Amino acid sequence: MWSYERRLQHPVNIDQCNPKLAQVIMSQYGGPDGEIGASLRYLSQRYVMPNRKVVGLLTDIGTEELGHMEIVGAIVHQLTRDLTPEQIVEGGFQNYYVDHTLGIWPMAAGGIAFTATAFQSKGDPITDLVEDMAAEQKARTTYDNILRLVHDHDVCDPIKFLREREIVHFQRFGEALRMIQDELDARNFYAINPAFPADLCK
Amino acid sequence: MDANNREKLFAYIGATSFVCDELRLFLDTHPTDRGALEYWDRMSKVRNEAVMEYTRCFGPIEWYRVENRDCKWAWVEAPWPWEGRC
Repeated sequence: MWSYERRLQHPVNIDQCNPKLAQVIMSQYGGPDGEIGASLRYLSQRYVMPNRKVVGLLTDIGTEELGHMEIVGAIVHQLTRDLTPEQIVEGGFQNYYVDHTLGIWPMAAGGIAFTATAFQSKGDPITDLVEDMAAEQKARTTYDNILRLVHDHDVCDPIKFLREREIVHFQRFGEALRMIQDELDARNFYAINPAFPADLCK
Repeated sequence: MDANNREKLFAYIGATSFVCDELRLFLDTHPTDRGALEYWDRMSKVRNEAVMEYTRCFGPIEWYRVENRDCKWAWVEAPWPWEGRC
């Protein structure tokens, strides 16, 4: 079960609207390396993860990612909330606007709808944790790419916070992978899938 | 507190939480309903007390309310809710 807290994990206070930037940052809401995909990835992978500490980590990071989804949503909202029809056209926001007005909808910067095909829940702890580490790096790269385009401090500040969290999550997932490997046959990590009981019965 | 009490207290938290979940939705659209407001005050209080007692006796339920024993992080010790009855 989840419960909601009426607060952002990091504050977002943006005065200046910027529809071009909003379209780019939106990718971290529902894009291939965005926060929704991150959360669904970790929360889906938990069920067959064979180590309690790692299950705790997937639960806690998956939950934190929901909070990050809310931060990105807040950034996009504050970058678009006061747009005039003229600014929508000047900012190239008309294609988004015609379908969603100023609502928040999960999609990639290129306009592709959010898709679960951008992540895996493979049911093998090594496969899943290596995917998770890669996912954190992909999100970090995306935030780096965004930061090169952003010059407004009010936007940079929460983006920098989110970028740092990707690095912390990467570190923790690295430790999780090591814990899983310590419990396996050190001569051949891939001899069995510890999340698939049939292998253990051999 | 034994396993029997643990199960009872856990079920009580489930029941009082659901009452709060249902009341929350009702109050969102009926924010001045006096009966519902009084019911909320009563139920959120007993739920809170039950969660605190469970956390103290059996382990954490909410992630900001982790109480540790024997210098050990208690959050990842207990079974996860999707494991069902073993």
